Amino acid sequence: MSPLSAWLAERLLDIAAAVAPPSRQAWIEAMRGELGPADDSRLAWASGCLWTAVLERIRFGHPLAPRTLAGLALRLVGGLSCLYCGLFFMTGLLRQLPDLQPHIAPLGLAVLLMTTGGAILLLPILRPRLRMMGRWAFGAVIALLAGGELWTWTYSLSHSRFHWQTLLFFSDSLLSVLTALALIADRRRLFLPLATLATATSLAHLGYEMRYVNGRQDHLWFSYLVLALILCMPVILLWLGQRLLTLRDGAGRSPGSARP
Amino acid sequence: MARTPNVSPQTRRLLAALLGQPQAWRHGYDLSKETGLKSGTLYPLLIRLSDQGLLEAEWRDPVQAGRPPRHAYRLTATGLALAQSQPSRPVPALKAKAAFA
Repeated sequence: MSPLSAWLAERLLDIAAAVAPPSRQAWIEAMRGELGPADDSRLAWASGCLWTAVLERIRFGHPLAPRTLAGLALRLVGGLSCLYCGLFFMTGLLRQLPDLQPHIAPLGLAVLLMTTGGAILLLPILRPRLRMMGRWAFGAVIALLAGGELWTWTYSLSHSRFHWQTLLFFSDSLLSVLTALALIADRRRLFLPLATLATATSLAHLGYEMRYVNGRQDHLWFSYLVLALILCMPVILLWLGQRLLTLRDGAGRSPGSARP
Repeated sequence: MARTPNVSPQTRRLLAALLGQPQAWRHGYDLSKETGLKSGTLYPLLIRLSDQGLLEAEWRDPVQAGRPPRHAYRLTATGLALAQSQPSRPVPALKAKAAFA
């Protein structure tokens, strides 16, 4: 068993402890106690423990509560946002291989629709405790997001000459708004690295597209990429450091320690 | 009064393993190896059986220093009765992907 696998198994059990309801924490510790004997299949064992924790959460945790659903859905939106960014980042890199573009673009557009649509639906649910002005401001941003999305799709569909790059250009600004809103709504900062990476990739792609606007060459794109990474990497590293310190101190685990 | 559990093939397999050594304390990983149940299937069953008063559990000190304590299980009198009441026909073999993880 490699150290990496052992570490991953322990992290999976940390997640299981976070997911499981308090009354089941002792069972999570019981499963953790079997990691040693299950040395040759630690990851599979830990995955099963995580599955058990999810089942117990579903059983006791009212998983259909709106906030729980919204939290899960927001993470899904963020994951898809990153997928979307990755796809278009790849699209930019693969621009030299035009045969691949028709296969990548439709999937990217579908992800775009899901992420922006999901954000429009879910972000209001996640911010119910704002002050009055904050509510109005947040509502205005959501309305702009929805309007921009509607306008983009209407504009694209109304043009007889459909070109997917039109959508790419407009989607960059929408994605920036989306990731910013995800950062705002994510109170526990669980989404910070994903949203930061999404923003960085979006910036890089925007810089790439701007080549065509001002006639510059590739170095502008690379300068955007470097700038985005310089801006975002400290945030990601700080977040990772904080999470690792939290886990090391044991603060990430549930305090429930009663044994069955 | 504890609710009579829904005795699925996996539960029957687990009960049969526990019934094989009714007085012995068994560990989760050993039960997993004997029954072929993965942890994602085994532990929900153990939890249900324990909730229903069919299984008792206790913590055992580790054999090797530095290891965490291990949880051990055995059937209660009620659980023993339930296990013995199960038909003696062979427990169906588990499909390859019947259990998660």
